[in-house]
Amino acid sequence: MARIIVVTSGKGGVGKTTTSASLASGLAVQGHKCAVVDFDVGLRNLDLVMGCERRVIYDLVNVINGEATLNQALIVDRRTDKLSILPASQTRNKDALTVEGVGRILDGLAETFEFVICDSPAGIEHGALMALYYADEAIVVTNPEVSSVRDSDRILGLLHSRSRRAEQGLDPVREHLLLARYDAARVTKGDMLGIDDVQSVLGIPLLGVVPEDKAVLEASNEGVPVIHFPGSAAGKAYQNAVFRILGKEAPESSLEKPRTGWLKWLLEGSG
Amino acid sequence: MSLRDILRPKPPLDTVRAQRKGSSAAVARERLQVVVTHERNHRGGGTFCIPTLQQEILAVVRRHVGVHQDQVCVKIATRQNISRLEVSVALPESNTPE
Ligand SMILES: Nc1ncnc2c1ncn2[C@@H]1O[C@H](COP(=O)(O)OP(=O)(O)OP(=O)(O)O)[C@@H](O)[C@H]1O
Ligand SMILES: [Mg+2]
Repeated sequence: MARIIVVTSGKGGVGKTTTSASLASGLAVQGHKCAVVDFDVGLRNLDLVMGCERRVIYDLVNVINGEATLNQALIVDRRTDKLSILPASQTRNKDALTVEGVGRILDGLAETFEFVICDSPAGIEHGALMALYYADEAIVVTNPEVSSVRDSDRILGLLHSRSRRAEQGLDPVREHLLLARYDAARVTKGDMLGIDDVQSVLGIPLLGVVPEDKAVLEASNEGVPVIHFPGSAAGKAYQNAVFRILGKEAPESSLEKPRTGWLKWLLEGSG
Repeated sequence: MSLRDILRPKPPLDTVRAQRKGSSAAVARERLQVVVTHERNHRGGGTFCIPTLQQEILAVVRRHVGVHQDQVCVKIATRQNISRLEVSVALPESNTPE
């Protein structure tokens, strides 16, 4: 059974596409057949982050409309042939996505892939609903910032009420929190929400913490998912998240257990 | 703990200051808790959990008739932005009123 995972957030620009590209690449490198689907119709970006923009011929909407087959539209990743990318359409309107059409695509992908990662557009409108509708699991990407946390909570509300699993009364969508653009130093200073703060509001289990990292921009400049930079802090964080998705032990990086009181800090040293 | 840690006073001092003055992160957390709780209460159908609802309906029905878990079905049907809660209970034959 394929695991269909939506990467979603409500708020825009928090790191969904960065996360989708890295997690999909990491799962493929671990030997799992993985497809990553760009649901951001009209604002295609996953192709750039994955570095395959010049190989796009057909897109998601072409396949839904029967103008191309799934195999014609899928782009096999240059770095690992276990990974395929299904790009979003750049021109059509968002209503091109239908529950029925998306269902056909995902059914098709589930036949050959172990993981299907759905990169959601921002917002809580049609596009975001289409991306989350068939999800078995959701990775809610959240920045440690009030507006992002609030929007994540609204997305959780949609997962509870508008997903296929909710509508059909099945087991609920499994939700994971991925905290992105985290700055441990600012948390220590008290001017950024910490991991516990965000978790206590959202109340879902933590999949990982990705630090604010210059390497993310450099990686996207080059069209290489940041997980392929194993020396970078963000790359390591995504690698750990991949292990956790696969149910393996992953080392908790020091930033995932921030020291709270200053006394604790003094006693334990800087680790 | 290393000597370097002792000689580097900035983080603990900052933390102490933040705790004493009330940090902006603490303010953020408070505001979020208020707004998120408020929005959850007003979401109306947005947040209730179907499996929980199903269990509770099952418990109520069972006070009157012996039904099995699988005989109570709760789901939400959404069509054109109108959501409808559908509850169906299949009664066992012995309990069907004549
Ligand atoms: N951990 C990080 N450190 C630094 N920069 C980051 C990090 N994660 C994402 N970014 C930057 O934030 C910007 C938005 O990232 P991304 O496109 O992944 O977000 P998104 O949620 O997919 O946006 P949209 O809602 O528009 O689809 C990019 O410029 C990216 O380089
Ligand atoms: Mg994006």
